[in-house]
Amino acid sequence: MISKKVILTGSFGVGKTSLFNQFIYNKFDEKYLTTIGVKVNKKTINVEGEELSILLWDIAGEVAQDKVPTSYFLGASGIIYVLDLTRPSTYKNLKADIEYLKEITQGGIIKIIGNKKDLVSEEKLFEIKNEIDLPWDLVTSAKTGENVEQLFLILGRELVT
Amino acid sequence: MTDFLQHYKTQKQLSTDSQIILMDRKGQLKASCNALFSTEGLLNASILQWSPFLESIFANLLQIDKPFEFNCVESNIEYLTGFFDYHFQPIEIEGKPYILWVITDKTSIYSRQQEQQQRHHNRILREE
Repeated sequence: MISKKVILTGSFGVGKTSLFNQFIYNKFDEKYLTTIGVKVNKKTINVEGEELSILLWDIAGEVAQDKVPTSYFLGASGIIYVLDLTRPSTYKNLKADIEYLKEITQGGIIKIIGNKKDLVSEEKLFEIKNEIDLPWDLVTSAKTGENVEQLFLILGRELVT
Repeated sequence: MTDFLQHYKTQKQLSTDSQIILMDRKGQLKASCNALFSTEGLLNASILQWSPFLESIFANLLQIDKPFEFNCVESNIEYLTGFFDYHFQPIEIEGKPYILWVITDKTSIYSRQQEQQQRHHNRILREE
């Protein structure tokens, strides 16, 4: 079986832990509990007939990615950069953050995710899409589970090829 | 190996909140001081199976040539629940290479830190 380390990163309160819990345990908690440090768990998914074990890291949110300890990114194959669709402050550094992540991960796959889709209308979504510096790869709702499994399947496919 | 662990623990003046584990380069448990949890029945078994954290960084640990610290790791595994600081160090005993893993329980400190952080973040979120 192939194992890959994947990191959830982004500002605080964007829903990284909720995505972690939704993906690993299929559960969602309305209450916001801030993450400090790091927690890791794994889940095996099937990617086109191949078993892939995703070792998922949920790390403390930082408003700028250069504040995250670089040791966290050691050996990471994939990075999921999460932004909160309801808070512009969580995507104001998007371009600089992604450039920084590209630099330190050296070839790792980076996915940009707009989370909390359940809280924004289609019109608002369109508006944000035109507003942000880089296009997102997917919009998710950790609350309803929308596109969460899909996110890891898309990433998984790229990780095994 | 148990003697080595005891000696190391005394030399480094590690508290009872620290557990030392010795593993080989395959990730198999070779010795432990069992201060935080019992490893009975885990001897010679792969530690990587019960620690996703370790599994995710093990390949990197094999390449380190000096001590490596990893602070504030939240663990929810059966034997180990709370917040811990990890210290990894490559060592050699009787010519054989091992990795020393020191686990220090910092649950009370980090829990307080988490509460402070929570208040801080809640305040910012309210303002936004």
